[in-house]
Amino acid sequence: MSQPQSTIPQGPLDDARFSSEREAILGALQRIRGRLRLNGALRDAALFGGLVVLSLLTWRLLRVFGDALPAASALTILVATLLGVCGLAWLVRNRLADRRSLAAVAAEADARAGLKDELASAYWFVQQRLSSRWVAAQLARAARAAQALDARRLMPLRIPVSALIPILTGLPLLAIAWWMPPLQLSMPSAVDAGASMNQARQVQTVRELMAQVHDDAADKVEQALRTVERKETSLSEKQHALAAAQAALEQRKLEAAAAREALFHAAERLRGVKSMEEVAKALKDGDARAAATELEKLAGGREGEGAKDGSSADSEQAAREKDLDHLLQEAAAGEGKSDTRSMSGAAMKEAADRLNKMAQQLDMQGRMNQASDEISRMQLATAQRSATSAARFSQTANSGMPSPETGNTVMPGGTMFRAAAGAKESMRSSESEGAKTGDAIGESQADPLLGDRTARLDAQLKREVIQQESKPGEEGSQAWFYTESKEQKSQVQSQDVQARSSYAQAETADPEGIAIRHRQFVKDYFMTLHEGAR
Amino acid sequence: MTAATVDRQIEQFRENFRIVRAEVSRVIVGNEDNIVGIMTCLLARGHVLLEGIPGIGKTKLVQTLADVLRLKFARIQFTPDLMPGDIIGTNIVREDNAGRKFLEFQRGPIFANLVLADEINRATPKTQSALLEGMQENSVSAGGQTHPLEQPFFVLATMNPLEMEGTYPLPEAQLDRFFFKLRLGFPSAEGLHEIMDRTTQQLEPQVDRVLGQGEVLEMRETARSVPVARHVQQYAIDITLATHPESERATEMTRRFVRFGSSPRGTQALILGGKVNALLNDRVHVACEDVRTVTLNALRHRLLLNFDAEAERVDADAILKDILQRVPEPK
Repeated sequence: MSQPQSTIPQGPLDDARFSSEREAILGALQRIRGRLRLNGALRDAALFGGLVVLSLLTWRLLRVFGDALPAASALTILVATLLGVCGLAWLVRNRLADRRSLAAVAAEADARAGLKDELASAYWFVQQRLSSRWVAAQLARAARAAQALDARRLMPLRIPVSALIPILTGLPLLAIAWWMPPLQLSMPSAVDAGASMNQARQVQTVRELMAQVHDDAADKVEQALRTVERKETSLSEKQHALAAAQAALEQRKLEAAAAREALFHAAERLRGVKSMEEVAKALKDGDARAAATELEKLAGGREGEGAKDGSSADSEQAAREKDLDHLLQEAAAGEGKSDTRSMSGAAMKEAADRLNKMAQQLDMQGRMNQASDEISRMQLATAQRSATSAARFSQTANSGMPSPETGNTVMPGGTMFRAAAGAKESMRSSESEGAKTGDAIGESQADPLLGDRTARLDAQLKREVIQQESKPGEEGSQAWFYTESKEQKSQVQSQDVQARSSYAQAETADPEGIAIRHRQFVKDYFMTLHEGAR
Repeated sequence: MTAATVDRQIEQFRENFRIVRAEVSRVIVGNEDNIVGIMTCLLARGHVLLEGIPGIGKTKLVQTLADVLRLKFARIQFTPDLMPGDIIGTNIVREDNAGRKFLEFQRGPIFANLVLADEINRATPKTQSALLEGMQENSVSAGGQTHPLEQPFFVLATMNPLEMEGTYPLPEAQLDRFFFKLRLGFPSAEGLHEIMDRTTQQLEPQVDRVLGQGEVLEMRETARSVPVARHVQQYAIDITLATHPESERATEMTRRFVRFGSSPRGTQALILGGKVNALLNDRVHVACEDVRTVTLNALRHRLLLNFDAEAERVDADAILKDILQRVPEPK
């Protein structure tokens, strides 16, 4: 709505006449703006102080709890840093953006002094340089009101309570945190105490099981046990140490399996050699010690003969460089041949030594398997106490060999392979007829909505051929189209008849359309419909 | 002219207003706000629609006001068989002394300063529309000629909200032409005592004619002179836009219950009503508070509510109060 031109003519204001009022109004607004800025600076200073107090508090709390809760400390540092940076940025932005306009100051002054938009209106008239006797009257009144305003009383220097909250709450907490000694470790709870006792038992068991074993795996296990026993070790460090020990034991398991496989193969090789039948039987049974004993017996018999020809030292040296398969083959081949007897005796002796070592290794393997189980349980207990998520736990707890068959795999391809194998459908049924779409395998079920009533297109449609007349010398061309089949036509007609019948029935039904047994219910409903309103 | 002249003008305006209000209050019990509302409409060159149950004093209030003002008063009782010609007037065939026949326009009751359209919703829309031109253009057309209406021209219409049978609800275009819609409430027990004391004795209170045509026109000019700052005007516009459900400033209640919001005439009513209110409060400028004061009277009949509002018995006043709470004053 435009201002009436007759009452407020636009034009330059008569400065001589109105300058004093204008100056009075603008001067008052400037003074009030100064007070507002001062108040804003005080509020920001209070907020900055609060930020400093909270930073000190965070630093002190990290000193107190940092050693006991390293993970929480890291998170706290991150969050506190973020909050601090955001808070500081906000304060700086606030300071820089404090360009309060005089119009806003006038509105603020009006609100505080209850002037009902007098200064805001006057400021707008001054800004627009409107000139009329009514505007002059308004400016005169506003100037009087502005002169009467006491900026100090109107805008007392005051820090808002909301800005003081961080300092007021932070200071007592800082004082408490300042005098609090650093915590060593959190006091063990009953559950933790039980867990550590259980863990000590498990460590002892593993040590007893591994006492007879002296190899790299045993060293790694011992190293892991020491890590677990150390109190300052974090849960993730324990998990890593146990996983390394478990990997070493798994390696030993594989080696043992390879050794058994080698025994079996050796037995197969010795089959048919008469003098070595006992050895082959023992190897086939997996009894490396018995096989070694048999071989030692055989080698004992040849030792005397070998000493006569004086070449046993060379034979022994050569035998040490061969693997078990070759040694046994050599031992078997030497039977009945005088020139190779000394060589076969040395091979037998070496093979017996190796079999003894394998027997010893296999004996140890049982204990190592038990140790491996125990370490698995320790891993589980450690993982349950850790903050690792369930998803990661399922990944880390599985320490078996990667393989699509066992499921102990991190290879997505393996999982997909098994899923695809499970999805294959071998059964064919009549329901799948006519609905072989929608599945990559192409054997999906029929659409449940249509079921076995789905009619094939060739049952619904019939191809009609129109033989077109041909000109002399040209071959006759054919045109064709699909029309509904006889079966389809009869079905559609049947449905049409049924529909007409049901429509006619509906038309001639009881006009009220309500079953007799329902009429009382309907009547009761409408009788009591407005019960509440009454 | 100086600021002192303006101050004197304002003082005169307030004094005249006070005299009229005091005089009307000699007859009418309570209803102070409605007396102020009617006077505001008169001084803002608007027309007023009074709504209230029968017997509450709607007609009495208007008659008393007409008695107080030295203005030509006409009362039209709206009935279903009332015709437009009955309001505007008609051309009749006359004969001069020489026996020559000529058409003469016989003025209807609309040619008065104060026109009371009693029970306006009882007449047909055709007859109701006869008032439209007069209310908006301050002139009427009959027989191909336009006849200007004498100023001040002020229509006061009454409406009974209870009886719906045999009534014709005012169309939106007609409603929009009313500056204010005032609701007369039922008097309190104390008020009823006062009414009984004044009206059941031998002598009923009489009023004096205190204000003439010239004074009213002068007061109208004074009211129009009050300047309005941009932020106050913005506030009135914000309120108007908040009544439109499709506007981004619409409140949740508006979106839910309003079909169509106020027209620009509503914003004009807010500003002009605010000007009169500012003068009554001895101010030379319009404040946001003045706009707030007149919002309910100025906009309640300009909001078209939807079915949900009818079903949940939400009226325009509730929506406007919600808007006043939610729309902030511009800084």
